[in-house]
Amino acid sequence: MTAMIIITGICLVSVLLSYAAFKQGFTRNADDYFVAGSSLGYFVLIFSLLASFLSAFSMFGMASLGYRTGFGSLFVLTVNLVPLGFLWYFMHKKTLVLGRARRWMSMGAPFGERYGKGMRAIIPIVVLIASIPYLVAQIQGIGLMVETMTEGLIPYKVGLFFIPTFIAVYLMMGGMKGSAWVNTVQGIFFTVMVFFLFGAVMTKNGGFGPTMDLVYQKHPELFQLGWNNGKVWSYPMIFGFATAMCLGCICFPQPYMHSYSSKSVNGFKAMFLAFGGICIVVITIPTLVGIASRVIVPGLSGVQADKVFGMVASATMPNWLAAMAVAGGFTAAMSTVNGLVFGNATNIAVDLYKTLNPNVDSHRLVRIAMVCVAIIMAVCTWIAWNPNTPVAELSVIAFGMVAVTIFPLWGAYFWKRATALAAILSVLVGSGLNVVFFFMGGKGMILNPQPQFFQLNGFLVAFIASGIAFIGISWITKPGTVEEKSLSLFFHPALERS
Amino acid sequence: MKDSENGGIQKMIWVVVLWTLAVLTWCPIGYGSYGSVGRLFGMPLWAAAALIIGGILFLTEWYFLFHSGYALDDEKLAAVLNDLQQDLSRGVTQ
Repeated sequence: MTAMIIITGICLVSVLLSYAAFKQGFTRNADDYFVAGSSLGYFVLIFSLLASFLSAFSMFGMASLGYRTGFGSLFVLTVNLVPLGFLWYFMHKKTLVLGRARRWMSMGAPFGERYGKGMRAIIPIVVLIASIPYLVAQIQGIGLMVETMTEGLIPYKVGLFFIPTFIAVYLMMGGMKGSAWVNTVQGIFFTVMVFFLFGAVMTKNGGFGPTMDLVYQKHPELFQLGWNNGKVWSYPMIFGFATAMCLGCICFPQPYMHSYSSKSVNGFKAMFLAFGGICIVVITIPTLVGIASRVIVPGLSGVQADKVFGMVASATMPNWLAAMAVAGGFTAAMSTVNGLVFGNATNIAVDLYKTLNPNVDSHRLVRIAMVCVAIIMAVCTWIAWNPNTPVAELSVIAFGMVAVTIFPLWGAYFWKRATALAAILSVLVGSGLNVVFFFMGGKGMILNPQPQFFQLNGFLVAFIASGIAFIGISWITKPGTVEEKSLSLFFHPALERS
Repeated sequence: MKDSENGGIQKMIWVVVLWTLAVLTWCPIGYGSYGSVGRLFGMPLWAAAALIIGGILFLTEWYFLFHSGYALDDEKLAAVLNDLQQDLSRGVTQ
């Protein structure tokens, strides 16, 4: 019951904070709703971007992955994300500059200006399809944790509705500004709570070193690369997971939305740099907590291992503190759902609806985005009804799928020869192959090295095919009027000087 | 050698260093091995090495973004936006 009171309290505070943050802006135009009027400073940007990515996956999922597979998990969401400091900067420098000059508000805007309306309409669809597994992972994680913390008092299927309802309400009310402020407060809260949990779990067996000694004695495979006859954490598997997550981060809507919302260049650079630096600490901790949990709550497997975060908190902390630690994981999940649902709703409203109805007024556009928030939340809750894939695996599939949009983005900003047809077909080839692999061989075909693909996983094969399609088709097709016309903006001499 | 060529080479060196460290954070190739391994701070050696490389990359990125002089800053952004706005208002772009 303590857990439910704390979680309900966080939800209510989030709703109030979101409303207050948006009212502070005093305006209700589309620019304010979608990109917070480009007014967000360092602090809010750093924690909002961080919280919009760190999720049920980074807390519950990484604890579960560490528990099941060991130290190789560090290459899934910790050290492998540090390169985002410079990759995000290089890929989104023009997003910031041109976004400011052209008043862009959505992810599809650069694609639309560079490649035309067809590409602008495809982007929200592909990103939405890719986002769904990730959103489902968050909602699934929330449901499982509610059930664990209340010891079955609130069953999984009731827990599924509880928090998503609050999220939908405060997202529909607060827009980007509200979402950013809620994310910031939630980000600080879960960052503090993972340190408490780490301290409690390691103290249980006499400190970090002695705890790892115990785990090593019982499960030495968790410390190895290529265990289980080379099937777990082989080099190709690590590279596949690491690149899927890192490149996927570049392509989700959050960096676009935060670039548009940034007040200054230093804020823009600081949020990208800080993201990797904070991840290497804040996500390593739940991973190590998961590994240490093998000697505290043994015997979990599959989806059940997603409960390890809550179970080890209950086993090592007083009830009220355990509830706070799990609530930290909840806030991580909530803030990711915020960022992703809001980004997708913006994409659909601005890139899809406005492309089809160019004369739509600002207020109607905001209302369309609000309806999209409600529909996306409802669909994801429905899909999460029968969970059969652990949170971590669901998330990697999502990141791998969205990563295929990196080639058109790179081409838009850095390659004058890129054509609209190549951009459209490369996205269709990449995302299509991911879907085909999923239906042919399930999640294993996308995530694990496949002998028929020279030990590459399905994600890497789809990613490479998408890149080849983009380069090849750009070479054999001629840029059309839209692409030719866009060159004067995207390759303006002033941009080359910067 | 001209200043612009010198700047181009230095920029290229930055890119090579950043990419090399990035690849090392994506795969323990060169510092990991299959099977049993030694341990450092309770962790396997390759995991500790990966975290240290991640730390080095973070510091390198910080220096590149804020102190190398090659990254965009607020002054450069204002100048770029000014040039862009002038051309946009004249209809040169779009």
